[in-house]
Amino acid sequence: MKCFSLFILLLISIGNSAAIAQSDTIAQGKLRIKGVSLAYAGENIVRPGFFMSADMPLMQKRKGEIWLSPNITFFSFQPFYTAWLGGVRATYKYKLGESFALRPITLGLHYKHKFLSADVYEVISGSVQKIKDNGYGNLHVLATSGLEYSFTKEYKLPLSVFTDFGISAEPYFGVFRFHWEFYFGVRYNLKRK
Amino acid sequence: MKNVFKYYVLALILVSCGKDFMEKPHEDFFYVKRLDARFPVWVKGNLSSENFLLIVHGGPGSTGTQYFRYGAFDYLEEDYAVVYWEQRASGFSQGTGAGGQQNLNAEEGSLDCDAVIEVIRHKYNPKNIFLLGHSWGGVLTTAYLANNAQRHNKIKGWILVNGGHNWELGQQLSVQWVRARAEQRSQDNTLKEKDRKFWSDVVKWYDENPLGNWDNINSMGWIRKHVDYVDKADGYFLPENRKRILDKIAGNTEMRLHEAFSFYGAWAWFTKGNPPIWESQRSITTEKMGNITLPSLILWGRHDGILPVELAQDAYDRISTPEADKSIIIFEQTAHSPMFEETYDFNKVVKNFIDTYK
Repeated sequence: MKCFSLFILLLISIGNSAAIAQSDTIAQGKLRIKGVSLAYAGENIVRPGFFMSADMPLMQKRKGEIWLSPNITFFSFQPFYTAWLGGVRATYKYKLGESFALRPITLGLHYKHKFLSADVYEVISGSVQKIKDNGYGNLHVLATSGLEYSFTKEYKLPLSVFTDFGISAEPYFGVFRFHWEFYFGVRYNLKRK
Repeated sequence: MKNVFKYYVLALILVSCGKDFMEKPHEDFFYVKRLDARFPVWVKGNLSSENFLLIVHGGPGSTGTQYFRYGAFDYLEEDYAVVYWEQRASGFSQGTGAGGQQNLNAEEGSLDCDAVIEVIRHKYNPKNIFLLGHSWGGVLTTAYLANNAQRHNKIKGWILVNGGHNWELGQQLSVQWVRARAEQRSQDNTLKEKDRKFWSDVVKWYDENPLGNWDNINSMGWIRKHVDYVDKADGYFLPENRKRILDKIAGNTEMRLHEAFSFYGAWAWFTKGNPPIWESQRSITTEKMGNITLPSLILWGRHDGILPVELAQDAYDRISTPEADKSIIIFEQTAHSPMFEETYDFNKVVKNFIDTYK
């Protein structure tokens, strides 16, 4: 559980340092949605799903940026389950020129709910019953790294493509269950007013 | 837009139907829930048979899916329904698990087993259920049968395969087994010098780290090292079988990715030492085996390094089944898993046992 607590602290500290920095960089210090992302999401890469987020800059400097992304993610792993996640991710981006950016670290904190894809039976007071099982939920944390390419400067398109790869953890019988996580998608950059 | 979204989700579900896990149209897949765990259960083979064989996998923390991915019981599936059950905190079992590690032991495992058997009886009402325990599954099925006489009424026969029913003796034998091979290899001039040195270091390690108390948090490092040496000494698979078996169980990339971090199951069972596993094994398995009176078939690989072959006789001697209804068969070309290494012969002797006692 120590690792889990450290992860949460790290997430909070990124948010805090970004909030402090934003007074220099974001007018009025207000969070505004500046992009919408859609991506293929793969739990252990091959269990397909999708990822949708609203992207808000917390800090924007010449080279470095921190974005906050409330998101919804979905995975399907048949015949076992479908999983829905809701939560927030903080991404640090480091620009390499006008179009490329490294995404050295994204940290995410989610609630993950699994819906089982098959009938569930339980022995209740000695009698077998087919039960209505609404699945179960737990916290889910992730850390990924990736790359991003923006089409804005060169092609005048308000789009970026990005890919992230990393690892997630969730509680499992007193320890943690880990998964690889893979994302590949596009972000539509909203026009400034 | 709503429809596009709906069809996208539907398409994802369809493309995520891992062929390695899906039942054939006539087969069954469902979950059994107990203590916040959901155990996947597959019923494969001849579902119209009156005879069901429940496979209790090894580990702890391994997976029951390895058997059907390999086709280990394919011959038996032609005649009988074969039930593959994923145990608590193992393989692809779901749930967060009430009580965490506190409930990861043979006692709770045998209650889980009973729940699975009850659900099978409820759904199929088979005439006969046979129980097969492999490795850790041998511990669990021993606990299941030895601690509640009423359970004998639900089971027609027991098949113990390279089981850990006597953990203490098993570990003494296992250390002797590895040491003997390490000593022999350290003096084998046909091996490269670095290999001889490796085996010489293994002997030294056992000298400096004798088998201690397993109910000790510090024992986990010892166990990991010992298991690694057993594997390197070919105590799990004979060298000529190893690649073929592992390729067949998890040879494709998709399965390797599904199984990424599969150690987390074993991690849940073993981290922090987990004293309940070892304590419960002593008191509810080895010492209670005399309560078992069911027809029993004891199957063992001659070259098993983790649960050596001498344990077969120990199991035979401990159970109270009449002589006429218990037997030992040793597989000469097998280490730890005869259903993988001598699949056809293994299926044949199990079929013979089921046909005799059904």
